[in-house]
Amino acid sequence: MLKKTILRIITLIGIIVIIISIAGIITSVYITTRPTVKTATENKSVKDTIKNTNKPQSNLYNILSMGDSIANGTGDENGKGFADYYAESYKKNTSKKVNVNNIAVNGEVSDGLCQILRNKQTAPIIEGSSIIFISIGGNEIKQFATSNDTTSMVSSNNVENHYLSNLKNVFKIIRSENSNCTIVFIGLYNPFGDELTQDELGLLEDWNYETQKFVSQDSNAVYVPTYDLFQYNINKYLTIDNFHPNSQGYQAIARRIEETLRFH
Amino acid sequence: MFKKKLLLVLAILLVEIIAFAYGENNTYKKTIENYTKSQSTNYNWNPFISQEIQNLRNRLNYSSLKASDKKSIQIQIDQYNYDLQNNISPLGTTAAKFTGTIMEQSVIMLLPLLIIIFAGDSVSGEFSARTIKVLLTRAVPRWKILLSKFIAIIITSAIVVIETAFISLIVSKITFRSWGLMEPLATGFKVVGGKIDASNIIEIYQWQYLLLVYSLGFFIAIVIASISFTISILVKNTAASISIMMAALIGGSILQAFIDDWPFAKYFFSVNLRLPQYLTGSFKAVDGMNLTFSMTVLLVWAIVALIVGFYTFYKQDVLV
Repeated sequence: MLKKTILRIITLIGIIVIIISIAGIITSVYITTRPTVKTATENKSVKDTIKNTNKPQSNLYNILSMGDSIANGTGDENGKGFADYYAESYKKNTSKKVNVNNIAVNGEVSDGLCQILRNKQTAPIIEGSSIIFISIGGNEIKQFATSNDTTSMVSSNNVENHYLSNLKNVFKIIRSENSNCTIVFIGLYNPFGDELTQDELGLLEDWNYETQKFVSQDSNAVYVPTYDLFQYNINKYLTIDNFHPNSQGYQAIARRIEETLRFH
Repeated sequence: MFKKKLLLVLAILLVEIIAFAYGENNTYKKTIENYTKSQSTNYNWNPFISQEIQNLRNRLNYSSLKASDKKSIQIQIDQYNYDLQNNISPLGTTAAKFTGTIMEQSVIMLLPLLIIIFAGDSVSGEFSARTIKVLLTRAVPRWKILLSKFIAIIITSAIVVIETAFISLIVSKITFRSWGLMEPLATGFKVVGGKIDASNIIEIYQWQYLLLVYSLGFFIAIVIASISFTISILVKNTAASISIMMAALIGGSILQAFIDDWPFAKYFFSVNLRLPQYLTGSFKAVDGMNLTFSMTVLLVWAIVALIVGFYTFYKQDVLV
């Protein structure tokens, strides 16, 4: 009797599993074969962005942040970044509507930035911006700092020259779209502290110097150094990955930008 | 005999799943430990995730994203949000994820082997034990005897699949603590022109995914049972029938490596066992291979095997 009940229960479970499985198998096949539905939402948000950023208007202050993860705000616990902090404080002193566009990409190098700028969809955003923040180069120089062999100064010179020619292109493209906007270039800081050798430190300083020299050729562009800002504050300003700034770090950068542009 | 085997399968599943869960948990702890050691701060993933969500939102707002990329990003954001709300570390795992992975991984080897334990000797065992004579002297047609054996194997397969699900769920719930059944994930990938196409993905919950994966697991169990059943009729020797099946399974995983150069290999049944991979999109795209194709191949193998098996059993002389 007991055996019979157990058998019945087992059979019942079996049948239930079979039924559920048939449903599951049919669903699986359906999911992987159903026809592609064309979504009309494509490009919608891009258009929105463009709409918001049409030509610099007197009542609109558009901030554009481009470049690498620093420009993106990676590491900030609040998910902001220096562009947003700058926008927050700028809002207090103006009646204009302040807008932040962030087209920075984590891990970006100067080659990638050039590509993004050549993209047609970027043009209207640049055109509509009142001020542009650029942070780039950190990922290129990071390779030298983290690889242990100090492979000849020749290859580092090559990288630096390549970077500078890319930077030249970046400025050229921006100026061809927008000749009035202020360009703020954020200099590199040293996240590695004492770990860097003298040679590597020299490379970083030279990199910053060459960048600054180039940026100053544009009359409406300014180079904002962060090297000194982070030098004694690494523990306070870096986030847990010990590479990107934390919220405080980004606020410090934003404050420095404000000071630089105070009477602009 | 049958009960003993069911217990044996239960024991195998229990030991293996506990080992997997322990290993998984150990890896997680090691990662955290290494992190803490190298960064000299406690591992706190909350800011990382908030940051990542912010980055993804930014990406959604700008740039020439395709609609398909947008969908993947949106699902990723939903996943992170769920992790945040339920305090699930993105490095760690949940009961639902673990249970799904167990079936994804075991369809090519572990599950078929467990099924072979039952199906491999259902007929040959009668020959070895010389009970076939007694069975055939009953006034029941031969096909009915065979059919009842086959139905018994199907029900047993169902029990094995259910057992796998329950043991995984319970063990992983104890190990990883969180269920994670409502966590969203992406599915609905296609192969278009030799590439995995994500333009048509949809978002489903982990529990729905589990149902799908275990359904596919059950399908594979039935196919393996059918083939193994027929081989046990043909060779009349339990050891030989089990070895043949094992050779076919292992051969299949080796064949997988040659599938690009030798397209004919995709018609072999054990190359097509990885059905769950079509749901997760984590597979090597081979032209012409998709869920429907693999399932058709498996189904054809199973049906042909059953026809051969029934025919042979019906015609053969039993001289024991």
